[in-house]
Amino acid sequence: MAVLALPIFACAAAGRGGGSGKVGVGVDRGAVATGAAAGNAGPTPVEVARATFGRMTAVKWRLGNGLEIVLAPDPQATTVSYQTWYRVGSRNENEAGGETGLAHLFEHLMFTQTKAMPAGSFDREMEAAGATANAMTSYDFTAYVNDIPPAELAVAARLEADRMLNLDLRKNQVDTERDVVIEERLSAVEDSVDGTLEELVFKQAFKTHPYRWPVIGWMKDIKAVTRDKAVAFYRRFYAPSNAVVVLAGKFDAAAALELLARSYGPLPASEPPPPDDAKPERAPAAEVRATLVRPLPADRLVVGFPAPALADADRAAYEVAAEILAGGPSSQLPRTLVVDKQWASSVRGDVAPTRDPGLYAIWVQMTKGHTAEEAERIIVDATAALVARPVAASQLGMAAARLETELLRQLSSSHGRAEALGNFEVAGGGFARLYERAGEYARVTADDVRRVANKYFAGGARSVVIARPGPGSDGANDGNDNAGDGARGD
Amino acid sequence: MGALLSAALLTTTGAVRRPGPAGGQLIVESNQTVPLVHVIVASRSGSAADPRHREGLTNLAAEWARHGAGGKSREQLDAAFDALGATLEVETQPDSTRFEGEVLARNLDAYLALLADVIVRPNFAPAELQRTRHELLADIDESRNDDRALAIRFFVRNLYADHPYGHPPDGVKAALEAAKPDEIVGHFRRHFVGKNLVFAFAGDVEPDALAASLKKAFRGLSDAAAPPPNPLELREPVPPKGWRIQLVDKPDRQQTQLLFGHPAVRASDPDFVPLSIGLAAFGGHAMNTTMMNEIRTKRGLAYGAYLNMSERRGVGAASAWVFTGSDKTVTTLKLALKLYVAFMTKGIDDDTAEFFKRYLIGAHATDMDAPDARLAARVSAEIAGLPPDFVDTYGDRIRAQTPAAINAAIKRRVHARDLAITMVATAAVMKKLLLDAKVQSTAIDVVRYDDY
Repeated sequence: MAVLALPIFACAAAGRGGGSGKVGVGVDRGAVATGAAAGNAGPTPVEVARATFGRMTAVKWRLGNGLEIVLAPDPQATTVSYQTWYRVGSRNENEAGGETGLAHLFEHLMFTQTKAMPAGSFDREMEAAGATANAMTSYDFTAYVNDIPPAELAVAARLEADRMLNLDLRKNQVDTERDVVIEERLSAVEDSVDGTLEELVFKQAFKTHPYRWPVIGWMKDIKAVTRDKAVAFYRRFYAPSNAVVVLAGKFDAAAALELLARSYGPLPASEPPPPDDAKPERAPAAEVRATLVRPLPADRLVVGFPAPALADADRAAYEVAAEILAGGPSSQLPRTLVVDKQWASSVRGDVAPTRDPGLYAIWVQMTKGHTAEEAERIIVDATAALVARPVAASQLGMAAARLETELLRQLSSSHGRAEALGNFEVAGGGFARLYERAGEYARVTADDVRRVANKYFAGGARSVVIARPGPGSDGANDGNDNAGDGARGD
Repeated sequence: MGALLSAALLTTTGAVRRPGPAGGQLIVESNQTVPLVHVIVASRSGSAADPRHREGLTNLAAEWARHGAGGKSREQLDAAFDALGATLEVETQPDSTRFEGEVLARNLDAYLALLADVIVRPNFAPAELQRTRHELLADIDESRNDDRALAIRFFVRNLYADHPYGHPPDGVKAALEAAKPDEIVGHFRRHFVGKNLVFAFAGDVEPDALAASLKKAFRGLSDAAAPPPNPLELREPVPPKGWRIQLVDKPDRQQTQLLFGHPAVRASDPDFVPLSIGLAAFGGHAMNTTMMNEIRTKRGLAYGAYLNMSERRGVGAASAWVFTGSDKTVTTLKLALKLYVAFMTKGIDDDTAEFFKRYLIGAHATDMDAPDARLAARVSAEIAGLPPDFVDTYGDRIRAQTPAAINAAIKRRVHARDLAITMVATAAVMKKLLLDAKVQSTAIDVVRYDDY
């Protein structure tokens, strides 16, 4: 599935929330700062945008301190998803200064203590209210996600407003969370074949853009984090004018807006964050490759192609092309590699939902006796076919329908709706673009698919990483490990 | 906060029940927020119904049925579902086998026709059996890439031994290779009869109209009696004696996936709800649990530490999961075991009981916000033999529990000194660490990560 999957997040606190334990996914900062500076919002929230999709309406408001609020009420919901999206992610880190991973580590630290609330208070109050509190960090943002019973909305508003400016970091808490993140990286990268492959496919594709380093950061940088670095990061990026609060679910819009204005309104406007000077990079510019060895039953392959940004005019057509290649069970690559030839046990594709041009990654798990190069040849031929001739109307219809279903699936829950609205608001040209996307899929033509295929797939530029079975594997052979220095412990 | 304990938090429109096709049970929940319908058709027979030496037969049968039906080849069937923007996947669990998916509301009738083909009129083409078997074996191999999935695969065997819950739902290689076409088809036809099925729908759908459409689409579905449960499933599982450690040896591990647990209670047992509160306090998905406080927050030993209880028709397990660096594994294991023994001995205090009652009531409402999650919960409750209103009255059931009832359930059902312990690690390193630390296990068995 290609559209709103968020494969590149590092969910810092995945230990949080997630279940009852009972059983068993804009507006750029310049525009925000300009709006606030122009004084178009005083003590009273000002409506700045509105969008409707079917029975759903979302409205964006702005407070005088620059905080933006998106409200998407749904009377049929059972809960409220209260999400705070900060326009800061790993793209804002200083790699040369050894500060990769700071955005993500900081996400962990936001759950420690504030000047008003002692250590552990945030989680205690939220859980006592029956809420689940989690967070996620990506290249382009950091989001704090609370799913809370409607009657307890004020608890979330009080705690989130407090920690936006009043965090009180202690050294021992930084030390402990650093250890936790080290464990997270060991699990998500060092001991994960897919984690290692993903890190490498982005690293070798991007030469200058911050997407070249992983959201979780290089291990050596994680180990070098200090309280002073964390505090400086907080002061640079955490402020009302750099955040969007998104609410979706069961609430009264007027009452919720009044609550949020009362909770966040008194927060002072801060100095604007430093300019985000990352220059968009079409990546990869040429074919780049790496191989490594891991305990695997057979070769595992990831191929990354250049992909348009989430807000790009090419995006809908590109997603349709990706769906035709590796979407449903009848799409080209699963049909050929898994069913017909039986060279692979699985094929999937992910188009990164990034603010700047990113990657479309196709993942293939080979079966024993077949090499990654065999699948790569099929993938290259399939992309070339999209360039060479128009796709059939039936293929277009299938792809558009499946993308519509996937979009609706995400919008069907309060959590999913708030996440999609937040992602489009900070990285996709604004929350209203989310609601326009479903209609765009149906308007994509065969000529559109051929045009984007020619623009992004022709020329042979791709980032290829292959993991081969190594010693101790049932499918072991003489693998040739030439993985980059990001493979382990960089 | 007091309002939490008096207000009904889960205010869904509720589900309606109707007779389903051929004696089946129909559950429908209407919600018009988005024009989408979530669908589950579940057989009350899961991997626990696999005959001895045919582990994975139930899943194989369902996957084969999905690969061509109603005279359509697998390619034609896949294309038909994709043309509707629909999905249909097989999910086999110990107690049920589910065909589940989503479809645009405007395409529901066409979807039902395809779904009925799969369940009532599968092709069972020999050539597709060969491909299906090959794919399932390859999937098992691929699942070994994920250390947590790998740990679970071995853990259920360590925990349940030869009980029907003791093998992975996707089966084992020898059994999948040995299954004959006739026995696979016979197995499917015995278990996918109307009286053994639950038809569940959530989303932009109207119950009465749906009931009529279903009846039409599933014409020809057998109304034969539901098969009796596997007699072995009805047995009480034999619990482990002492701490039985199983080391799943995988090369080059820098971290250990650690699972431990024991058989606990049937979902329909009166102890199930009070025990779930106690176990949530010890290791549920919250930050204020004993495990998270002691292992992550205070010591930074692991990213996460959890304990869950499975909702099963038979005796479900209480099972804990921690993942931590190889050099911290023994320390973490000893700490977790010590905490679990203390939990068994002392139970929880009144304040903790009240805190987690509130948390569970609220978290249930948030968990149930997504229509597909609500649907899955309703089907699971039905399959597990819980009351029809269990999902909607869950909060009331939690609210009614006293600290005494919770601690009594802990005392009866928690067996911290008799645990199956499974660790995915590099054995040469980990076994020495365990022996040096004198962990008091009754056994340390080493198995290769790719031999089961």
